[in-house]
Amino acid sequence: MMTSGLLVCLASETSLREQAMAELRSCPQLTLGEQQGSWLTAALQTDDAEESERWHHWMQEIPGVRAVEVVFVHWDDDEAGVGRHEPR
Amino acid sequence: MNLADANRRDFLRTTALSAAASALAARVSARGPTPPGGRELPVVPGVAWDKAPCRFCGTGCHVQVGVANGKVVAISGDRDAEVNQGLLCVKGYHVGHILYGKDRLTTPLLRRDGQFVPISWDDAIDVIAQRILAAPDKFAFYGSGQWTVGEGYAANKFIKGGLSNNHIDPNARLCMASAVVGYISTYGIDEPYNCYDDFDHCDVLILWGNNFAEMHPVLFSRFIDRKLRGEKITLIDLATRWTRSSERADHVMIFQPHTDLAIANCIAYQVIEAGAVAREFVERHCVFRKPWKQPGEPQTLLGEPCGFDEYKQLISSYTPEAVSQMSGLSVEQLRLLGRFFIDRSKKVCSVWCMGVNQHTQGTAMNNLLHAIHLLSGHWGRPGDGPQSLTGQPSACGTVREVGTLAHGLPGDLRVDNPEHAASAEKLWNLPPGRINRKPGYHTVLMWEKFCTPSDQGGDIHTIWVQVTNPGQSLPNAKKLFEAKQRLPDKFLIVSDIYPTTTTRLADLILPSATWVEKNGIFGNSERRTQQWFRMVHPPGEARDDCWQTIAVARRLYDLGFPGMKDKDGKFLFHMQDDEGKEVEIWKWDQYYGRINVDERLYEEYRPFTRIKHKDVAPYSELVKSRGMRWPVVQQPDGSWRETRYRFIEGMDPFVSSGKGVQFYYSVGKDDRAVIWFRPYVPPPEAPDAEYPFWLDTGRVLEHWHTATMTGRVAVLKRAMPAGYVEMNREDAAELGIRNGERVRLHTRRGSLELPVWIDGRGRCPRGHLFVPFFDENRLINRLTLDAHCPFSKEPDFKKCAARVEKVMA
Ligand code: SF4
Repeated sequence: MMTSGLLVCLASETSLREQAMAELRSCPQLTLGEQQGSWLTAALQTDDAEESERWHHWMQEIPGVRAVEVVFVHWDDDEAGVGRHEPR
Repeated sequence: MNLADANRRDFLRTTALSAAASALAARVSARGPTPPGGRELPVVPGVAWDKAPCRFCGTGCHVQVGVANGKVVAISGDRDAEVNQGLLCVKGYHVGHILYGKDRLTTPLLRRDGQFVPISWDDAIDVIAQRILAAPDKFAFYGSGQWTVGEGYAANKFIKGGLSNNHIDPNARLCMASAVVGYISTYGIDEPYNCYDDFDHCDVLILWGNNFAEMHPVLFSRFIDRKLRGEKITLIDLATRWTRSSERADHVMIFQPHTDLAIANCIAYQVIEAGAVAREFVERHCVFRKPWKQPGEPQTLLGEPCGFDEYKQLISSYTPEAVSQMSGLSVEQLRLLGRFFIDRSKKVCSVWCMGVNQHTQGTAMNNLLHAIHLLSGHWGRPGDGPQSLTGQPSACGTVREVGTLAHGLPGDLRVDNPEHAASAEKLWNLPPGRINRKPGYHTVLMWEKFCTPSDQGGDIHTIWVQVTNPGQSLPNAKKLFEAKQRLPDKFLIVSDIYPTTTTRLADLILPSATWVEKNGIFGNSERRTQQWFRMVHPPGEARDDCWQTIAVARRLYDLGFPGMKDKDGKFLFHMQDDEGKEVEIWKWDQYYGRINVDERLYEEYRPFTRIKHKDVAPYSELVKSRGMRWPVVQQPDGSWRETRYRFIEGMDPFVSSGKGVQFYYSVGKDDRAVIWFRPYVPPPEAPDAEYPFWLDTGRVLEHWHTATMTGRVAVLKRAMPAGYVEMNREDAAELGIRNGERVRLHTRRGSLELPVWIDGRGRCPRGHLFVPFFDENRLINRLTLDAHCPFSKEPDFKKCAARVEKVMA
């Protein structure tokens, strides 16, 4: 399991921001926290790093999201480690 | 999911939210350190937290490392750290994973009959000692800006105080040597006078060939956050291709590669034309120099003095109209740049890294950036000045300050300065004359000598590489690295944590400990010295690089090698405990025992730093802080004060009272900085009919340099799995190439097949290609040029001529 603490930077336009909030609320892995100005706190919990990364990208693609910053990461296993680059 | 799991999940979610809330509090307020005791670490049962600088770039963010059951399990940005205020980039928050790649090196390996066989540490140490004994003058150390201060200091003492041959140079030669020589030839002493506070105070930030958003993302956020808070600040991206930095810039100015010299001179021209020279400042604190007696003569590092009138005359051909023709910038763009420097009411900060440094005119370009700031008076106020950044976490701390360069000694001293060498001999308790006064081989020459047959002048026969991957990062790699394959008498030793492109050609591989598996100290780009403690054990038989050096030194001592003794016959790395008993630190089981070897080495090194007023903080102060910016000087009340801005009265404790500004190590010993004229000089290789493209190489956000570490972090590897070539859409269309198709890139040195990426992460102008160098299976440095700056010896990885050929399916 991977748990990340996020700071989401939202667009300043109200309609875009509201749209973004609605999209973010639809993600079951995401818990939204406090909001101040353009900034919103959130926690993302996924089974593994790959899923976490997918949701991260999904968030970044939402039109009213300007940036997603990670400030805390906790992981339960070492699945994130891989071996040498495979020849391609 | 059982109840315990569910509770744990809830708990971690709350922890993550509160960590984010803490970071939010820092982001919405103006920047400043958290008051003591104001920081709360995430509380996770069983997890113990401790501070460490991030392992990657020269920004020097601090992380809080969470350890449970002997493993790193969590990372949090450190809110007590002034540099990053709790924020990390994508590499930083995955830094813990670099320890746990599945192919960590865990035992020494010796190549026998073409195969690697495990051997004991004792045998490995012996193999190295015998190679050195056979020819001590032909042995070289190739180190790194990722060496900790202690590691670099021990290696430097080993080579210069022990072997007396000076053949030690770091990979930092490839990334910031031009900045070093630029500082020395301008101010008489290395390293920035200013610090990251400039990014909080500038009105205009100019990126000189610097993809700040991807290479120093936390510092970039530090600046961009001000925009988000509504401050009216301007970002200028002066670049040769469109990058993520361009996306946030107010003005993007794409110029022809190598013409930055002309652009900088054009700014100086406009400042003079507008009568905006900061006359009082320049008259009191600066002198002018030109690079030769007469144009047409070879340029020299210290050049010749000249007056303002001659300088004005030399600069007179760099009109906006003329420079527009050369650079591809419009006259309006050049005029806009000029206005920023003419208007002294706005604070202008110039920042640069590899684009300026990896340049055959790297020193000249550094000189010019300082020159335009000094000339226009945009110098000295917080937010108003020129500042170089580094790519490695301790390029400043270990390379520049500890002097792990072929000419260097700790404390920014030089082997070829008799007074400096004598000071070092005294501090190291060596007999007079032990330190060889002749500088050793710089990086390119060292590898060239190693890859040249012994009977043809190849007089380096053994290189020991620590904490770096030259097989992938050296330019023109076939000539400077791969040629070793054909020379059976040459011997390559590599200490690393993973197999790399370099270990493929190694004769002996030594498994190393890394980051929080050892005690360490780094020095970041803003003169900040940062300390951390070992938190977990390295895997298997992996051991500290510093211990490896000391163990070889001791073996040489035991074998009677005279250089490993001081003038009283004691071991070069003699250390004793509080009771006066010698500690046998060359034995691994005593290395982490009664004494802290890292602390001892650092405290031994500190007196060197006082010689040229670069006083680093005591170890005990570093333990308490998130780093301190030198010079750090004790106050009458016993506290220690760091220095944000050097050479400025009231900020720098070494400036004499009443001076205002004092360049106390100036080139002319007159307390003045040099405003250099350096002319535009054409590049050694440029596109032509046969090779019509510019080829530029560099880094990407997700991977740190050659990806030895980030390539083992699944999430980063997935985000950026393989190398590619960025190509302009119209160029590709003309050659019938579509996005994702494969092309073969040719230069005069080799060829390489790559997929094409059009309008992807970056966007190239017409006639320009970009290839990142992180992919070990697509070694772009087999194609790059090894031509280098005549003064800094730093190669130009950013410009050579290339041809593109579509690969038929
Ligand atoms: S900006 Fe550099 S030091 Fe900071 S977290 Fe990222 S890689 Fe680490």
